[in-house]
Amino acid sequence: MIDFVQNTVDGIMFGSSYALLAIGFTIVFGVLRRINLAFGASIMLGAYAGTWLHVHYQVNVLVVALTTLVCTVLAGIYVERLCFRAIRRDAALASMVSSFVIWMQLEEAAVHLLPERTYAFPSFFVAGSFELGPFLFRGEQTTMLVLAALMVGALHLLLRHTRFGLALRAVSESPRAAAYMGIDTAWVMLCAFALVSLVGGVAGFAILATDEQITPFFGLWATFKGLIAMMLGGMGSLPGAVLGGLLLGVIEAHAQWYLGNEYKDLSAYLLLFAMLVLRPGGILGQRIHGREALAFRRV
Amino acid sequence: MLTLQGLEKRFGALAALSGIDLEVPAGEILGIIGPNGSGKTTLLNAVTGVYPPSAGRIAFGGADITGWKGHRIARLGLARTFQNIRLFPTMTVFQNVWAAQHARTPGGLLGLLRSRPRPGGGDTRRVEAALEQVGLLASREVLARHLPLPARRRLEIARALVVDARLVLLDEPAGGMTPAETADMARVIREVVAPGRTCVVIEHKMALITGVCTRLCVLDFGRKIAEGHPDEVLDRAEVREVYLGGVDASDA
Repeated sequence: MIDFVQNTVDGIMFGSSYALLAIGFTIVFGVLRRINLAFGASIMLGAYAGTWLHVHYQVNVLVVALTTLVCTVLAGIYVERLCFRAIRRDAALASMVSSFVIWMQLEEAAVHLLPERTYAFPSFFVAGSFELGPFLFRGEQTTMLVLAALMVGALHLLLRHTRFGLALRAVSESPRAAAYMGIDTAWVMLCAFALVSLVGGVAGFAILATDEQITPFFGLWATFKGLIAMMLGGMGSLPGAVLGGLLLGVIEAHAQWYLGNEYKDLSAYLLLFAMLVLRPGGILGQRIHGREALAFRRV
Repeated sequence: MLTLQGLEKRFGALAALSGIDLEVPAGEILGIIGPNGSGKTTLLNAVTGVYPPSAGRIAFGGADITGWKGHRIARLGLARTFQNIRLFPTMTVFQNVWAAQHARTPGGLLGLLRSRPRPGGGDTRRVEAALEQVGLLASREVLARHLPLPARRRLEIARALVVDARLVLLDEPAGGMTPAETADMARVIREVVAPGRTCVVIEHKMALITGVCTRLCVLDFGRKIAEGHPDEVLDRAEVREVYLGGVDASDA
């Protein structure tokens, strides 16, 4: 029983970073109806830039964090300019394929920066590990959870209570009409990509600071985890992304404990498969009846 | 208020508009009629910045807006409605008009981070006033996609009212409506939209055109073939031939 609770706690903590990754996918999907496959790769490039400074100049972990965030945002803006610039909803396939191509490009750039297989990433925690009764709370993971909670809270305020949130929603519902309300749709989209990249950068940094290493597979890994968490929770739904991320973390933690390390990823894929068969819209997504059900699910 | 000089729009080999000169003085309700494919909606799209014209100039309120993006033109005080209505479907009636308040705030990053209009504030009263004027105040919490067609068109008009537009372009405001609904729309245009504003109305329904317009312009194959007082224009032989096909105007 103690193991079960401990695993659940660990799962929720690590799942909080999956939630941030899922938010990155779900906001872009909610507004553009498209999946940005280059998301994980742009986080990876940002983190590689931070690692490069760390490896060559032994900079402080906070400088690594700042570099990671800034470079992830720049990479996100680059992806938006190249793949998603024009709001042409009928070109969904073209932009998805091009985002896949950009993924390869960003990964290539990162590997050119640091060509070896593995690099150490500085660890980061605000408070040290502590015990609460029989349970252990690792410092890195509590820091991750706090960072994620702060990000989700800030996002909620931004989307629900500012003109940016209103503009984003208007653009997602009808870009043409939004333009005639005086909303600069291209600018709003750019801001949205910068925003989700910032969220992704925080998630990437928190994960890497917990793992204390970075490999060229991080982009692929982040894209997979984020996509699975989004699909579990319900595409285009912000609470769904949070729920999906936490659920994925908990399932993985239990699978790792009870079945072994090699079943960790497999259990996540099986769960996604079961979800797609039983409830294709995700937990908080609507049951799909035709195209409309999905199309009306908004951020 | 609005001046078009030699306006031209080509799509490949097709000249959708050619050599349109048009002057819309302040306070006028100009009707634009013409058969399907004569360039009416293309004209509206070119003026509102959906695409830049191939040639010619567009001036609005003294500013040359040729080639401007739609949101910049909107901020100058130009609003439009759409033939195929473009509301925000999963927002309520109130939120649809509320979102239109966006046009009245400065742009840039700081403008975006400003707080939304607060319930109960001056912005809310403006929204309610606009809804009241088009008779939608009672349905303020209804989702836009659940509204019947005439109410959707009135909601588009309420959005134009709330942004303080000086010029309102209406693209087939009575499209798909019954005669009674058309008469009601004519009343809304005359009594709510027109006072203090300049209007351009594209329409097929003669009942609406003759009921509201102070001047009429007829397009055919992207050219202006007639312009003048509605009764006089509709009496001209070439207009009757091209547009009405010999049918009496009052029947159409």
